[in-house]
Amino acid sequence: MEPLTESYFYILLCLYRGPSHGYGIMQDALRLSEGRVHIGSGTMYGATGSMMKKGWIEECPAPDTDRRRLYTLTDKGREVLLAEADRLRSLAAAAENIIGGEDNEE
Amino acid sequence: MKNKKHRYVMYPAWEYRREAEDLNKFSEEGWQLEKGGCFHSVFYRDENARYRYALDYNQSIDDPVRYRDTFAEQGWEFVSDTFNGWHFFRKKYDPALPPAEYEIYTDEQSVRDMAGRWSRLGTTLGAIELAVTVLNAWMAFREPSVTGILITLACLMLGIVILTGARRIRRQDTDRPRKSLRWCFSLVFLLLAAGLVYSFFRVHADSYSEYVYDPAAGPWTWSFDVHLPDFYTLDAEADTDANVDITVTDKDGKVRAVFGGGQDLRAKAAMFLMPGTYDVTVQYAPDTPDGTAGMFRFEVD
Repeated sequence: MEPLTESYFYILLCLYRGPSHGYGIMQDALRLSEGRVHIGSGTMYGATGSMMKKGWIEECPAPDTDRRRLYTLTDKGREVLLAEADRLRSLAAAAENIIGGEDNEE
Repeated sequence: MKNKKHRYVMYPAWEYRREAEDLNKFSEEGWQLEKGGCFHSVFYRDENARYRYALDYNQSIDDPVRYRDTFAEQGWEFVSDTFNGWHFFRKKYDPALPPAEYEIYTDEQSVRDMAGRWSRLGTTLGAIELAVTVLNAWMAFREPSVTGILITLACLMLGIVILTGARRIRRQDTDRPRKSLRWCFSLVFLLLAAGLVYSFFRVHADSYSEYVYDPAAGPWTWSFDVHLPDFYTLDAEADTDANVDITVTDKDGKVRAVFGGGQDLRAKAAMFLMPGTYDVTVQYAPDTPDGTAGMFRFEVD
């Protein structure tokens, strides 16, 4: 599987602990990335639409008082997220072996 | 003071960022967009509001309600859309917010997806335009006319401009508007307009008459005027039992075309004619019996 874009990764990550709506995902992604990843509306619509087609996330009913769309992670989406997290851990470990080692030598 | 303003201007698709910047500028001047369009936009007066605008291109939205809801969640208000898939949004401007708050596409992939959507359409339109150019060129070659040449040039230029624009939008080379491309785009419309005007003022003359041979009266002549230099075709038909010569001459007596020697003549002659008066002369052969009748039809187009 191809690596996920940052937006895809953060959307899946933000849904890992439970359903959320677009604005909530955007805020969480901003917080988790320490202000680096802002997911704009066009990006959010395209990414959520694409992930719904792939069956990684789905819409779930929102409370009657809330008009916003709620998204939730599917089992397939969870697998994709965990696989990507493994891949990133492996990348980080490889970098740590080389760069971390050089730092230690210095 | 007027509270509404209509603006008639066309932005090429690859200048969508410049269009949004212009809308932001108008908003700062107190003119807020009410309806955006490809050729015509409407603004209303509100000096207290300040908006930032964003244009999205998406011609195949599978869930329009979810689409607008997703924008609304981040404070984007839908303004209007166009028949060809452009959507105008605006958000209240707060100088304290970072510029990223006013971007709707925030990663490379989604920018590329959006650009790819228009780029595919642009490439298809450009290719169709070039095919139309070939067809026009073939027609202009078969029946030359200034209008045909102008329209062929306009189609060729439009095809090149669209393909170049599609390439620019695909490469996201949209921050620096290219004046040359904009000039070429304007030139397309000038060429088309010139072609239409030329076609309108071109001469179209015809004559259908009977001419009975009378040696004392001399040859019979029909005249037509040309106002614009162009390629013209003289379509001649003669229905008579005698041999006739038909000659086209300009005002200096210079022969421009000759049909002749036959009965039941059907002939066409293509000529480039400058403005002036031209004579079409019908001359019966000397051995023609008096009283021989003939029907003659001429058409200049």
